[in-house]
Amino acid sequence: MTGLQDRLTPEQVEEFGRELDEIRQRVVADLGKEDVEYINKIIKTQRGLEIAGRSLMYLGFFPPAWLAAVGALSASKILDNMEIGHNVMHGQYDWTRIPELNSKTFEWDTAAPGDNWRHSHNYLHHTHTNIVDKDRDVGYGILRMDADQPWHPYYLGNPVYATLLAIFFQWGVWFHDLEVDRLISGELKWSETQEVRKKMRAKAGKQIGKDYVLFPLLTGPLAPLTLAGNATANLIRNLWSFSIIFCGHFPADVETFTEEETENETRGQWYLRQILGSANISGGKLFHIMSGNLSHQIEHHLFPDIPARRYPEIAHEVRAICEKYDLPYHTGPLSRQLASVAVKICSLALPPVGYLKSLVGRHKSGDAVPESTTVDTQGQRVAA
Amino acid sequence: MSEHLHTEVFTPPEIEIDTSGGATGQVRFSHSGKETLNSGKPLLEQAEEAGLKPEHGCRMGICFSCTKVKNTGCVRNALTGELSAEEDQEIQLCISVPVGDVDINC
Repeated sequence: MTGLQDRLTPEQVEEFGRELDEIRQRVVADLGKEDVEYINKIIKTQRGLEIAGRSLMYLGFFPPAWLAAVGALSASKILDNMEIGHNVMHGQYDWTRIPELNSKTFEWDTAAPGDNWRHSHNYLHHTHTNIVDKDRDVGYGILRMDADQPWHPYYLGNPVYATLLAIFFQWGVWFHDLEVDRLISGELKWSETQEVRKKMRAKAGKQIGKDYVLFPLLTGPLAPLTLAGNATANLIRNLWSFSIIFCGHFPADVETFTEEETENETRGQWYLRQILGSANISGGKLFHIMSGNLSHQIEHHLFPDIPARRYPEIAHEVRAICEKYDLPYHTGPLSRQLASVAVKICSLALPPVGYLKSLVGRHKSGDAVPESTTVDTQGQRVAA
Repeated sequence: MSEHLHTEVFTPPEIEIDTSGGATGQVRFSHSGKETLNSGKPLLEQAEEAGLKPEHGCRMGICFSCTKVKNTGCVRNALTGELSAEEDQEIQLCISVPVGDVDINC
């Protein structure tokens, strides 16, 4: 694999950056009424689905009604989380000056507090995309998603952790901003997380109170059924959003980068890293909406602050630019991308060949075997 | 809706920092009470050079962490060249360069 900056000459990368900037300018200049009408329509649909879902829970004793309620509520939560929440909080609609669409104040129907998420996602993930040890979305502090993350026996559980994360994804995202991996390594002090924890407690209380106490109780004797229905809707949203999100940067061939090779990036080089580090999912119009247009992860990473509904219309242009500069454009159907991610999760659970060889080598070479050898959380050997 | 949307289109220029002496005016950070001569650098840098520590993130105009309200004055968007003189306008400090006097709620 060639280094990040070997892909294009300095002149090429600047020209490449200019071509992408032109697409950006054109779309930004075109933003207007249509975009506002679109997002309002999506919000109206989401609210309608939520009202329908929560109302149908009153008929939850009738299985088809319960199923329809769960379906409607799941769809509402998915829209709120993805096409609305993620995109509005990115600032994609700040230009409208509509208070309900302001990125700084928008709160979504999931446990993660908006403030915490905005920091780790808008700033950290999008600036340091796929830089191992800087982008905490590479593995989320609990998974080994890249061969450059040193192996540790803990990672034998990779597939288990991934499955648990998928099922409880809402809480995984909620937990993400506590940066437990950095707390364990000592980089971050517990006292520094006070603000983050305060927000976590408040939002978790609100969500649990809403989905697992208030709305069930409102349905009286049907409370257990409603609770189960709300939990199921959350589960469906978790599994769906996990799947879409994990296909964004983890399919095989998507690249990660080192801190060294990404130092002092120009804008063109930043664009290049976003393209090499992201993957799209192919599908129809409804699929794109339900994925919050994260099916256009590449376009999203190039232009995170432009309304996501614009990504499909520029995708062919972006792809053409990639072809022109002989750059990959990672894409595939959901099933294939997910399978690729699953394979990666399982294969990275196993120790790399080099690690096994070094274990064997120490015993064969006749060197004194150290009295005890421990491995730190980064998989590096340290003398006891 | 169009009355809320001010757009000006320019051909995309190189990102330029206007430190050549063309920068004029005073930059006032009214919330903190600090004032400084406009150096032509983006507002985030000017705030930091004045001893302030505004919240920020990517420093490249994509994450909106540094968004603050410009009370009065004109700024140029360092990425697009777009000028904007509206009052009480939300701007991203990291890519906004003052043109003349500006007053920022920061």
